[in-house]
Amino acid sequence: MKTADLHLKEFIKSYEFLPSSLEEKTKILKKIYKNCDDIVFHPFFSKQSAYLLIFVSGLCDEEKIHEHIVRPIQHTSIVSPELPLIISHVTNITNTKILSNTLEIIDEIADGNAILFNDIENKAVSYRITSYEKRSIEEPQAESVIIGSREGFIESVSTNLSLVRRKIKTPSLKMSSMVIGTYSHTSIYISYIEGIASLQIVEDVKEKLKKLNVDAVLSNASIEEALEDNWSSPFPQVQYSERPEVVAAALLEGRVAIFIDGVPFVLMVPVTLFTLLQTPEDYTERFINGTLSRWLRYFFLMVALLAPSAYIAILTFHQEMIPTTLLLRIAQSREEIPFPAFLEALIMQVIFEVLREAGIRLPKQMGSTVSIVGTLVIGQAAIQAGLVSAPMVMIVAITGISSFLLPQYTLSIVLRWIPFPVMFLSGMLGLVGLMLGVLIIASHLCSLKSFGLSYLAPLAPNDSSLLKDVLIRVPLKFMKKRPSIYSSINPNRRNEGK
Amino acid sequence: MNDNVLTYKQLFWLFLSMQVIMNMLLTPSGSIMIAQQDAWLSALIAILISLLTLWTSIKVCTRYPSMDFHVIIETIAGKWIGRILSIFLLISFTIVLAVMLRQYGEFVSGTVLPKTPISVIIFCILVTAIYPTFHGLGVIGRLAEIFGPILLLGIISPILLGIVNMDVKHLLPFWYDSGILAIITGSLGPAAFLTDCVLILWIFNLSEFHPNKIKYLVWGIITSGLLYLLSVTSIIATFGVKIASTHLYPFLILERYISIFGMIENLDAIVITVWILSIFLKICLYLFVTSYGFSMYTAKKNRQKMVFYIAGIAFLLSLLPRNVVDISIEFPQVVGIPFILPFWVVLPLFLSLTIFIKDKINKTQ
Repeated sequence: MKTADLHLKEFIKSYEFLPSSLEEKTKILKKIYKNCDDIVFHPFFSKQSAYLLIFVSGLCDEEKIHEHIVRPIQHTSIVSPELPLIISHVTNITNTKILSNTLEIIDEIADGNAILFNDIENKAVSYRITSYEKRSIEEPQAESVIIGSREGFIESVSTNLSLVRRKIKTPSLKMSSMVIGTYSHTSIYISYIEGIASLQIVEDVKEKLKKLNVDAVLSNASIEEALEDNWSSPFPQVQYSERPEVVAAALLEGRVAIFIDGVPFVLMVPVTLFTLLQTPEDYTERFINGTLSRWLRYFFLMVALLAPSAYIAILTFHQEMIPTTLLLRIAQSREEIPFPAFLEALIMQVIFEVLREAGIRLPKQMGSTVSIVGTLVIGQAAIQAGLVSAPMVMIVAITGISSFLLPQYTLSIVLRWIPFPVMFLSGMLGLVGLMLGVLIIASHLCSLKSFGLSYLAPLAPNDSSLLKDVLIRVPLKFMKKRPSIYSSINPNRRNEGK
Repeated sequence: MNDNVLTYKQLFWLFLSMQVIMNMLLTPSGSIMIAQQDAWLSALIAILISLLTLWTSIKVCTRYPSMDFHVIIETIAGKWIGRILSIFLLISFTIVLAVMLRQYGEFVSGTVLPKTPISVIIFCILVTAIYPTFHGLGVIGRLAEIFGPILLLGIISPILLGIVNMDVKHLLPFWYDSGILAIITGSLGPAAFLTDCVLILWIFNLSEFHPNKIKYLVWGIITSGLLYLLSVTSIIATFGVKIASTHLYPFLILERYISIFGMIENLDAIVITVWILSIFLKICLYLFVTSYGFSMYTAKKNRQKMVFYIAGIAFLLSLLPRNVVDISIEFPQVVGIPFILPFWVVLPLFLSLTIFIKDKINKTQ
């Protein structure tokens, strides 16, 4: 049995080109757009001929249609109704296209363009007068900085492209478009700087996206999955940003950016772990502060990953490592606790995760409730009830706060779950288990690749010349070369002639 | 995914980090027992022996830069002799892999996990090592590059912190008590560990071509040898010959003597951490070489599947010895030093000599 959808497709295929007569055209298009009441069919006449205008209400500027298309045609003194003449002599919209293929026409209508048919040709004109509701440009929510630009991307891809184009004005900045999604026909733009980016990577991105066969691109997830090399890894292999200057900087490093219509984030590839650990502020602050805050981030990345596990391991297996006075303090606080350290940590971590998740899901007005409940339940009641010890609460809290230090949300999500198996190993085998956990994670990171680039570059494989922007952040005047890990086509950042 | 390319820096870190700690932890007491306070001279001799092995191995590999070792050995020694030698070499690696696993198990159970069954301890690290090995040599190399510097720090800092407890008098009298024969005999233990650079036969041609490659590799072995020398010297200087030779892991005891601000004590954890890192890399490398080597003699040449088989065999072998005496004292004396060590030294020597003679004959013709 054929679905209605297949019928429609075949129907459209059977009319690859529309007939010339306006009446038949209208019949066919009405059949195609049966029950689509938001599509406006507007037939009108000039002195010499009949016309039909089709557009989606809400996606077009109806005032402009009336002002610049319908009225000029009705009042024209030009005798011929041929479309090229209409475009050049009558209507006054500059962005136009002549279409002949039915599928093209349907796509253009969906894009929010107004389509004009006449009574004598089987072609149509598409007028680009898209105008729909969109957010104004606001400060980025997920990537806030204190010093730095205040504009963030929005859901409209054309606005996002223009934001980056304003930062990099060279014609070498390419934005090649493609349409993905059987039903959604989402516009995707692959952006790179010709002469800096590695063409191999650009081709790879295009290849991977061409292979993508989905119904609709409603979020960045399907695009991200198409771009990553290892689907089973919890680690993000694509960098997100909602800041134009971050994308511009990435493009100048020779990376490739992917803009998706309807998504207020831009994806960037290839990615390394250290890219995900950098913030835009690293480069706006003084270099010493930038370096120190980077070290802080690296250190607390480790803390977020290993603190509870190390605490469990030392407390359960290696008490001799703790100085006596401290050990006595901890022993005193754990005296009445009924659970082993591993279980205690597990309970606290899970409660912490629950609170965090609840904080995300709740409406803003209710957010404070969560924090009050959390503080009371975790902080006071649990300790007083003798269910958990105070040091453990501290450890879990520090771990939780540490994972907030990471600039990329996708990475901090990973750090919420990874400690659990490591904690389990530590609870079973002490420091040995902890080390095994570290080794498994390290092995996994070493085996990850993003477009042929190692996830841990430039640390492994080691490139000491690039470590100055990883381990420390040297003053910008010493960063004369682009990071060669992305592309080696155009290594110098400075214009040699000057 | 199967990336088997090593960079020249990774070679340095890999050989340094996989050799260093095993040697420092397991061999000093035996070496000190034989060579007394001149054990550091034994260390020097051991370095020389390992450098000879490395040099001859590299000679063999550079003569046929685009071939795998199983092809090289058949080219040099003929099809059947080559095959037998190569399989013997791989078997020796597998045995050493099993011994290492057992020694690791004994060490961990003897120091931090007394109640955990040794089989569990061995199984855990083996499973962990399968992961990077399955993915290929490149992953192992990158791991070595990350952990190498950490290892170095973890080894050198305790020695420096322990300087306070050392007394150079323990190193005297020089030569008088032991004599040349004892010094050479004492060097065989550490040499057995250092000469596993013979592994390079299998992986030299897998790593990238670079003019600095050999230099880095040689420095890797020399550094690991010098670190051993440093640790033996500091052990003797701290405890004197009597105490040092009776302990199974004198280096661990050395760490226990250290106290920082009177607050941080019992640095065994550092030794254990470093030890795990090092032995992990060693297990990965051995596992890779054996699985890669044996897979070359199977029909499908499926290296990744072979990793599981070898790991299984090594695991079973590692459970055979009865106790720590079997593995740390009997094995080196009965199998390690009389058979495996000479085989590792002589095989590349024999191959490079054959190449040399063949080339000479070709020239004269």
